[in-house]
Amino acid sequence: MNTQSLPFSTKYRFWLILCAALILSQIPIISIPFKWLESYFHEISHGLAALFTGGSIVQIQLFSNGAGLCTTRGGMSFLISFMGYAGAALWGMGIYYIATMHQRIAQILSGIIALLLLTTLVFWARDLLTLLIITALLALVVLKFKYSKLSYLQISLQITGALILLNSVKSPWYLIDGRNIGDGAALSQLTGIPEFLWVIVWFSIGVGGIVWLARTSKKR
Amino acid sequence: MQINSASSYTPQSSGSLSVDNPNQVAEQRDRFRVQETQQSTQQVEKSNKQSAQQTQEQSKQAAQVERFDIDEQALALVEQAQFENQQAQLNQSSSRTSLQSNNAFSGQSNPQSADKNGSQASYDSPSKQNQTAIAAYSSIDNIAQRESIKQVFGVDLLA
Repeated sequence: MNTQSLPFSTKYRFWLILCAALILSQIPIISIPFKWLESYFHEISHGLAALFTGGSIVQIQLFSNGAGLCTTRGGMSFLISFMGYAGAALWGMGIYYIATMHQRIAQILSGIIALLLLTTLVFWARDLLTLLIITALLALVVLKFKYSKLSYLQISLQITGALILLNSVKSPWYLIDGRNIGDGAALSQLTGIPEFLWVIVWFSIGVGGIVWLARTSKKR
Repeated sequence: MQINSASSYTPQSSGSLSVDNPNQVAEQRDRFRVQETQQSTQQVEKSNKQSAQQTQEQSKQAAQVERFDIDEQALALVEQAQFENQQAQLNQSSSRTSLQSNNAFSGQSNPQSADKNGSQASYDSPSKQNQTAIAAYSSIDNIAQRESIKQVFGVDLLA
């Protein structure tokens, strides 16, 4: 396909959506549910890693300020700790990529996310605040089905994916606070590799995801 | 006034005892007059000395008063500077707390009321250093709690 003949909005679609996501993440009240969503995908990545490596999820907690906590039992500690930030980056890439494929596929993806939220609500959310936050997120995802045009659903999912991806680039840097807590410290204890290097690895995965999506969107 | 002295009146009594010679009386009179003039000059000298001492004392006192005035001014300046510093610190702390309260209430309806509350509570708010210390202390407490939960229940807590 000749990219020269494409309109500006189609040619630079990925970058425009990334800019929209960046602006949205800076708006005080509107950014709150997106922060919860970013935190949810981080915690569910820990949990899914535990499930895939033979462990179990005890509880998932989300807090109003965008923080989260996942309690697991068993499984492979290294992978569970690593998959928090890496998994969030993969979720961001995956949501954006799948939503871009086709509008119907975007609809199916939205249904899968709703199902995942419902499962979390039933099995792993134990406190009132987490129940409320996940219910709010579920309501937002279900409301997207109400869009009259499927293209709106597609764009909203793309923005959601870009927001999660941007957060996965930014949030690992919060670990460098000299307190030696969090996923980086856990991995450092497990492997002996300094926390800073794990932060670089997660940051690279996020940036790599952005570059990869930019290239694939050009090819389309 | 210091006029009488034992030596000055002794010739008078001795003179009254020996009156038989008129020349002696005249001499005594002359001597008495000389003594009187000497006494008066001494008195004048004494009074002069006293007045000189008084003026010296007065000048000293005046100098002391002047020095005290300078000290008072300096004290007033220092007090003013201290007051200004205190006010500046209070303003800073109140603005800091109002900022914090604005951040805390950013998602809520009325940031102005939050600002007011913040400035009112600024006197009681701990300093930044204390807040950091509390945060560090509580974080250590949380880590200890997490470790104990991990050990007791055999679970992993991932933030």
